[in-house]
This record gives sequence, C-alpha cells and structure tokens, in this order.
Amino acid sequence: MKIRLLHLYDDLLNLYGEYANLSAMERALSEQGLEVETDRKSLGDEVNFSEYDWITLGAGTEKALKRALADLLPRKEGLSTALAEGRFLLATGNSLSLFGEKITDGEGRVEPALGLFSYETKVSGSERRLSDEVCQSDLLEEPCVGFMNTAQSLYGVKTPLFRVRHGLGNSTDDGGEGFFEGSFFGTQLTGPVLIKNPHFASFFVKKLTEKAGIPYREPTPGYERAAYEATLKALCERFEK
Amino acid sequence: MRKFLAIAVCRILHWIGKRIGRGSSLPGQAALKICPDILSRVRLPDTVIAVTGSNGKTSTVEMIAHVLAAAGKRFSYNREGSNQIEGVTALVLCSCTLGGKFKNDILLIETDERYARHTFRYFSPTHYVITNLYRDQLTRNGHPLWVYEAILPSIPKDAVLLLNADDPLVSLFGRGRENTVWFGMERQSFSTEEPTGIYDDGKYCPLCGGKMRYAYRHFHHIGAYACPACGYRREEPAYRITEADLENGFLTINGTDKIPLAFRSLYNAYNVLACYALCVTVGIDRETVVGSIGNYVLKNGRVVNFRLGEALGTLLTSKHENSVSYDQSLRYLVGQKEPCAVCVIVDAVSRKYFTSDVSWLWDIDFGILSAPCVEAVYLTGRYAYDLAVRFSYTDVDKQKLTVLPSIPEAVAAMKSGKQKRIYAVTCFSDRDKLLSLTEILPNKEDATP
Repeated sequence: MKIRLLHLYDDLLNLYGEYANLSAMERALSEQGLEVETDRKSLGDEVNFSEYDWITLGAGTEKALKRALADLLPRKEGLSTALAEGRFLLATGNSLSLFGEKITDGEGRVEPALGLFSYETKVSGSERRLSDEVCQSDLLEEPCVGFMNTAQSLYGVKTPLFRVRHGLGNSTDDGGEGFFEGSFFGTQLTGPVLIKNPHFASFFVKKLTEKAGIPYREPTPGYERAAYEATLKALCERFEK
Repeated sequence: MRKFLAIAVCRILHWIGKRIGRGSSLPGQAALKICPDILSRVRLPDTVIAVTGSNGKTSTVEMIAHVLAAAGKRFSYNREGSNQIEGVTALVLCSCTLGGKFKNDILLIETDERYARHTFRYFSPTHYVITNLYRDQLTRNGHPLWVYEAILPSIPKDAVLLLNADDPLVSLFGRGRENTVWFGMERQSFSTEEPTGIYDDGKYCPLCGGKMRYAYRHFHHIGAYACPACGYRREEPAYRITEADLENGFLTINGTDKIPLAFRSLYNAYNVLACYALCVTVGIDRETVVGSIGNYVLKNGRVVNFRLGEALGTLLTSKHENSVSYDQSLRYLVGQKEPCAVCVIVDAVSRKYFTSDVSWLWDIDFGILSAPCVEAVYLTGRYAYDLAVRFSYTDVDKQKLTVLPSIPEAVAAMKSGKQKRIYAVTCFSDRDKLLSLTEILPNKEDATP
C-alpha cells in the first residue's frame, strides 16, 4: 500500500528545517516496507487533502503565516473533511494558530482563523518566546525535546498535546503545550521535531502501519536515538542542576 | 559633572581591565549607570561609521580600520564582542577627553543588529553599512524579518546608507530613500540561475509577497532579483564586483580596480566590496583603498592554519546556527579540490548562551561534502550524533564517516588518518577545543602544503 505525505506550504512555513519531518517519515515508513510518496503544495496550488494520509506544516514568519491563512481559509471544508476521515495532520511551530478560532496580531488586529478548534492566538509585535523544551505527552512513553521560537501565545487549549517539564508552554500561565484532537496534532516546538524525537515519529508510523494493515516492526537503530539521548541529557543537566 | 564622572569611571575601569588582561562590558555599564544618556552628551567627530548585518561585520570593520590607518586617519573602533551599547559606550568614552570631546577624526563601530536601535538612540551614524540578513542565531533572533524590523528604527534619516544590493531584504532599507549607496556583484562564472542551498529565502518578494524572479544568484538569496508583481528589484550598484576570480585570487571592482585576495572566498569578496564602497564614500582615494586592502590578511583569526601530526590543517571558523556561513565554508574547502579530511565540531552551540537546539544543521547543505576530494569526514562534539543523523540524509558515503563525540578521540583518529590535508569547520565556541590539540601555524594567506 502506498502512503501519501503532504508538506503544506513547504516554501513558506519551513523556517527552522521543518522539511526534515517529512524526511524522517519517508525513511521510517519505507523501513516498514511501505511505498511512500510525498507532495509539496503551497500558495494557490490545487490540493485535495483527502488524498493524503499524513499532512504537515511548519513555522513561518508572522507575515508568511498570514499569507498561509488567507490561502487556507477557502479550503477549510476540504481540510475539515480530511480530518474527519482520520487523516493525520501535524502542525508545528506557529502554524498551530491557523487552526484555532482567531488570531490577534502584533498590532492588535483580530482576524478569524480556520475555526476548526476552540483555542485562540495572540501574537506579540515585540517579544518572542524562545526556549529549549522538555515535555511529556500521555501518547508517548518518553519525553520530547525541542525548541520553541515564537511570538505567539495560545489561550483556551483544552487538550494540550504535552505537559511542559522544562521550558515554555502555550502561554505563560499554562503548563500545557500544543494541542491534539482526533487525528490532529499540534505543537509550538519548531524545526525537525520528528528527527529530534524518533519515538514521536514512530507514533505516527505505528498509526499508519495499522491503517495499512501491516504489522509494525521496530526500526533498525540508527544515530537518531543517541542524538535524542544526548539532547535530553544536555537539557536535563541544564534545567535540573 | 555626571558626564565627567561617567567618563572618568569608564576610563579607570577600562584601564584596570586592561591591566588585568580582561575586557568586559563593565566600564560601559558603569558609565551608563552614572549617566544613562552619556552618549548624547559627548562631542562626536563628523564621521561616524556603523556596520551591521548577519555576517561579515567584524571582518568588514577590521578591513575598514586597516584602510583608514593606511590613509593616515585618526580613528577609534571596537573589536569583536563589544558591539552592544555597553561596548560602544566604553569605546566612545575611552576615546574622549574628560570634557567629553572625541579625540579622533572618525568613530568606526561594529554594531549588533538586534540592539543597534538602543545604541543609536543617543547618537547617529553618518555612514551606515548593512552587509546582509541571513538565518543567523535564530534561537535568539527569531528570523531574518524579525531582525529587519529591529534594525529599521536604528536608521537615521540623514545618514548615508550603504547597502548590499544583492540581498532583497537588506535592500528594502533603501527603498524610496535618497542618500543610499549600493554595492553588489555582477554575474560570475559560478553564479547560478537556480537557488543553491537547502532552503530558499529569496522565493517570495519581501515587499509584496509575490514570487520573485532571479536573473542569477551567487548563493542562497543573494543575486539579481526582481518581483514581477510589484516591480521591486535589485538596484544598480555604484560599487560592483565586475569580476570575482576566486581560483586566481582577485576581484575587479567597477572594471578597473583589481584587488588580490589573501583569502579566496565569496564571503571575503563581499566584505572587501563593502569596505571598498564605504572607504571611497567617505573620501579616501581609490589607490589607497586598493593598495591597502589588496592581499590583506584578517587578524581576527577566522581562518587559522595548524599542524596535526603530518597533516596540515585549516580551521574555517563558521558560525553555528548560521547555515550560510557553513555553506560558504563547505563550498570553499571543496573548491580547493585537494584530497582532504573534513572535521565538523558541534559541542557548544554558543559561547554566549545555552541552547541545545540543532535544527539549523538541517539548513546546512552538508551534501557539498560528497565531492570526491573529501576522503574522510569526522563528526565530533556533544552533538556528533545529531551531525551523524543529518549526514545520513545526504549523499556523503557512510564509509567515510567517523562519529566520535569526544573531541580528543576524534582528533587522535584524524591524526592517524591517511589524509595530509585537513579542514575543520566549527564555531568560536568550539574551535579552541580542536586548536589546543594542534600546533598553530603563523597566520599568512591560504595554507599551501
């Protein structure tokens, strides 16, 4: 069975090496014996979200995110259908804000977002929230590591993806990070989250093997695991000393 | 009185710091505490030159200083690491009389791009050079557009702005502005029509968001761009590299001024160009500029030659968290076409702050090292395994890789390797961990075995 992946706004929301999340999925799915095909779609491209098994989009500048939102708004129905069909979507970095109710920008202007979920976003025009992160999800056996690099805060998230162990959460007074519901997964962590956290990649791979009806095989150990452990150690030493 | 006190305290602390061999931000900090607006109370010279941007600030400032000295000018300038307001304050006050009169003809400042607006709240540069804006230290800087917004309020209306015409984001600073001097590079044999690099920050117009078209690119988003949607395009530069012959090691500026290069890289070419443009603009005659800048070997130690056992090594200092800097180093060493070993060290991401983020490794085009002349690659430092993962997604032959987090172990392995030529690529934060295990050679031009 062929698994189809989509990198949405690959040339616009790819500020911190997020493209590598696709690379991680391609390699891991191939190792399972699955045929993998990746598409890249951006502003103005025709896209049928229901053709894809796994969709991702990453972080962008505040300006780029607005352009992505304008492009995505007319496609809301297609996106909503794909999610209802159980197609997986991973939104990383500030792209998570696209799927909430509304976004207040750095100048105080309020714009409606896709409205698929009930949280809302406030963007600062002058301050960024920058931090290394260690966070834990009930869906994963081990913590995730990463970096948050954003000017935005999320409010009203009822089902965060992670509990923050070290670093920043969705907003300053919130121990939660990210959001999940059904087949939608969002985190404000930036960059190649699935490379840095091979167990998080495996989580999606397991779901997709299940869907393809083939047994999941433990991946051949590579340097990914050692890299993850080195970063986790560095962060725990730093935060827990 | 406060002015006098601030200057006196600053100079005494600076003198003590020098005696005990420690430079710090303390003298400037103390002066600012005593008199927060001290910088607006001193009498500055008629020429105040500032240089900012992501890459090349320190080298450009050093070269400008060298030319100013050759031209017999009296000037003060800051060295690397003191480019925020405290460092600039110390520089200015230590060059003043106790009455607050600047003693030299020219003040030359390297300024941190994110904090320039704080420094220039109290005084204004008369000449302001902006070299480029790249993805640089994003764990602190956010992104290039964020840095653009931070620089914008630091630009005084009446300063002469010297801008890199080949960088679409930098060029935005000069849009609709009168007193702007542009510098750039014409199409060269190595220029490409397609983007080079892992990502393309030149794809969309920074002004209107339309898709940009490039007639050519030198690297990344640096080249001749035009936006068909809004008409934003590269300005015709007044100072332009008409020929960049990196193989034979010279540049020609404006078709007439031939400048031999001690270090034959594209980034050095841009630094030389920025220096040339500034120096001619402030009135130094071209002969003096060409004569002094030709074959100039930077003293800032960005390129260090060393010996390791029987091998000759060259350290190409490359900024961590800066993919353009890395790509340029990788391209340079592969361009030398000698059989070599390459050592990449990522141990501490920064010497100034902590982060464990290595996302930036994914923006570096390590595939450049699949060139046949690269016979071995050593990946070392705390993040050696992250480097190994990154390399596993390139065409670099796995058989060539040695992955050892311990730097001494990697150096020992390299010493017993068969390559007689080594290139090391790493940042200020990690380079001494290598150099301390080697014999450093005197700094001359490109190392030749």
